[in-house]
Amino acid sequence: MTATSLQRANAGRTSAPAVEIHGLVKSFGRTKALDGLDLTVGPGDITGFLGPNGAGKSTTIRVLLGLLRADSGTVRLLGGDPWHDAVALHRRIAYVPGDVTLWPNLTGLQAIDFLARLRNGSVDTRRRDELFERFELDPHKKARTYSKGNRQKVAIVAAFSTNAELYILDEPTSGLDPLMEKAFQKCVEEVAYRGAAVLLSSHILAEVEELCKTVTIIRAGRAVRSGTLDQLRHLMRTTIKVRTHNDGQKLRSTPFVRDFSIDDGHYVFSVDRNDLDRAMALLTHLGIIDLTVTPASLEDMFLREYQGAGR
Amino acid sequence: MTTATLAPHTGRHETMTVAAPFTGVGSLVRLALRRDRIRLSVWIAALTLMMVYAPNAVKLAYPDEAARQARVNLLKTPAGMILGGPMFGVNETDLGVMMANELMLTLIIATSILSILTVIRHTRAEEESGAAELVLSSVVGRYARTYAALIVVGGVNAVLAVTMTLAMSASGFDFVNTAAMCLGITGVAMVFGALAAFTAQLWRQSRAASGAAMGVLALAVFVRGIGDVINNSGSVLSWFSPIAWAQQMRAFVDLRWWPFALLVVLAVALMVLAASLESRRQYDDGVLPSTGERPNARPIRSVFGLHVTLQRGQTIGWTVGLFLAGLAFGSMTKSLLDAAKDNKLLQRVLAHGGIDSVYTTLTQFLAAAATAYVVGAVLRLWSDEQSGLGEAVLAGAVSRWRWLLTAVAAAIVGSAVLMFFAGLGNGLGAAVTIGEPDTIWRLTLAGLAYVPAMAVMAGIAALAVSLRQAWIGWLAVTFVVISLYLGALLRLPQWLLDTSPVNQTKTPAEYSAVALGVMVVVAVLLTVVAGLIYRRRDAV
Repeated sequence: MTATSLQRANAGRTSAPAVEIHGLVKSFGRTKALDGLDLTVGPGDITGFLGPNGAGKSTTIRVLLGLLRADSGTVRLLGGDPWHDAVALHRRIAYVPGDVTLWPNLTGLQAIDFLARLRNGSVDTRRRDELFERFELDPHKKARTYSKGNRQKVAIVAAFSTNAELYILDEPTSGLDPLMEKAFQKCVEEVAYRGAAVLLSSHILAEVEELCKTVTIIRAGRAVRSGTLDQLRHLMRTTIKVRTHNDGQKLRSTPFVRDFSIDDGHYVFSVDRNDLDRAMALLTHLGIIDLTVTPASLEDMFLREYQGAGR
Repeated sequence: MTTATLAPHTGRHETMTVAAPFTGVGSLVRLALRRDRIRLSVWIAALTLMMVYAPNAVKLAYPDEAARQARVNLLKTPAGMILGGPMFGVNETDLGVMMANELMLTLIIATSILSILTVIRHTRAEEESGAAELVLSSVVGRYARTYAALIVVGGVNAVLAVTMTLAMSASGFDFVNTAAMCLGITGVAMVFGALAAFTAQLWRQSRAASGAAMGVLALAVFVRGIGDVINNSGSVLSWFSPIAWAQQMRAFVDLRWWPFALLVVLAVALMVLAASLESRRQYDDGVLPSTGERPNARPIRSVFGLHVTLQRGQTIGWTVGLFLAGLAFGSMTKSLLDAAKDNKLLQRVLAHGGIDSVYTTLTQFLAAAATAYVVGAVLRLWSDEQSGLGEAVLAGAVSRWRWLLTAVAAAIVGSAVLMFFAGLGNGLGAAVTIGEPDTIWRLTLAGLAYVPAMAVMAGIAALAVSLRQAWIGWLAVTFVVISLYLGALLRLPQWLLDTSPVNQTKTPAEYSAVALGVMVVVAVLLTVVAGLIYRRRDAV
């Protein structure tokens, strides 16, 4: 990446959110794929976009790309309308699909150059060749000889060799080995460092935790949680495992105690962080013999939000 | 797992090895029939209806002996021989003989195309798309997919033989001769189905496999035609084409069954060949090695360039084919003029329209074939959309307009190349045989004059893409071909025939600026409407 191209990227940026979606509805026949979705990606943010299979992530991304037309709701992409200003907006974004299809009789290099050229009109060959090396991709093979992982690499190289303001990544690391996943994370960090925004749809929680500052979790076409990871952590309940002198059965009927159970003489329950003080007061009153307090992991939160996703 | 399934554990491996190649054939056949239920029903219904309609149309078209004799004389010309069938000089004006002569070739081509497409669709295409991987990972024998595809095609052809025989004999034709004619037709179709199973083993790409099988079909049509021009009742050359074998069963003339045995033997031999090749190759691999490395591949600079590159193989194949066909057509001019010496009808036709009317008809035949290329090229947008390739392009800075218009433009440019070489071949053939060098550029220009007609077809295909109804495009091709080959025979109304853009172009006999201009306008209108619709709909 040269200094001039860095400046160009920064000069083109506005302070408007990279993605701004309010009340987005999209139906296919009788199926409501998106049902009042809200999603925001701030300028320069890396936003994780999570949700169980069939929640509407790819549909949302296709609306953002102007491939699908929104039934209702407002969608702004880099301050423009993704349906009407598709061409102008696509010059400023890069996209990696989760399931990459390539023209079987073109080589990887031909496909990458073509796709990059579609966006910018020119190819940053130095950056491209550096990415070939980083991803250990042989670009001279015809696409039909590539494995899924290698096809994915083609799309990733095509996207990251452009100087986009927004990267839309739809499960970009599916099929990549852990080393390549690391290489991919490095790419995301680099573009974020120079100020580009990233929307990362992913099922790999470690990847999201590593890269994203904010996340939006959707289920059945609606956002069920969104905010910074710190905020979300704060929303989480804490699990308490305790043994007491006195009978603790009355914990069961205490309103702020959730998921109460008895395990091998221990009472196990969870409470919101705001109720920790009250819970501790109650436990002190019962007389604590031993006590374990575990803050919920992000994984617990995701699992909780994913559950009941069957529509 | 229950004890019942555990019990025969000892004998299990033996039974598996015996049944292995065939395991799962039944389920695969059912799957294929379920997937193709509409497609196959439409084909069977259309071909059967053809057999209901055609006999009555022929009766109406040629009510008396004189009219039939005129028709027979016309068909005895070289072009007539190539487009129809052999003439045996017996009862030539008998309706049954006329049916066998005029309809067999068309029906053989139609059923053979159906067989080729069906076999490739369920064998190589599945391997290429990866769907076969799921199937093969379950309890399915390695060769079950090929067997199942051939069984389906065999079933379709058996059904066709029965329904077509019943339909035609219901119009009062002799049952045994009708059955022989229909069995001959479906027998050739079976040969080409088996050929497709063979080519599916050779190439990794389904397009190459079906293209090769179609190419052999075209060659067979051609060899049979030239062979019968040499000798109207079939020369040695004719016998190199399996199509001749069906026609040499001489239904309604002097029925004999032994040529049918040749068809059966060839079909079985091709199937055995396909099976032995399949046992020697791996999954998703071709017998012919495909080159994967291309370090010097040229960069693709634009969307138009992408269309041209993706279409290149097809364009080259079609160009070579049409050039050779043009060359053959052109070189028949001499024998046509010779035939006119003792053919009164032909003399009258030539006196009326001149030799140019013959050139016009021949060029129209070449153009009708080229419409399939044009429509196929534009409809690639639709298959790209379904496979996800369109998404990659439209996610770039490419408008729907540009994506659609460049596809149409690439198809039209390709068709211009095709028609240039078709006309050039035609001109060369004619010029060499009759010794008029002028003919070369005149017929080349005549070929190029069909580009507006091609543009109309491209516009129709673009509309089909924007409406997500690919069949509209293929219906248009079918219509153009039928209206040209069988329009008069089927007594289609003139206004309907006039809607075919290929019929509207009459070069070199007549250059109508109005007709060409109107076609350009229609093409533009169709494309604009297609673009407007395409821009408003979801693109995945």
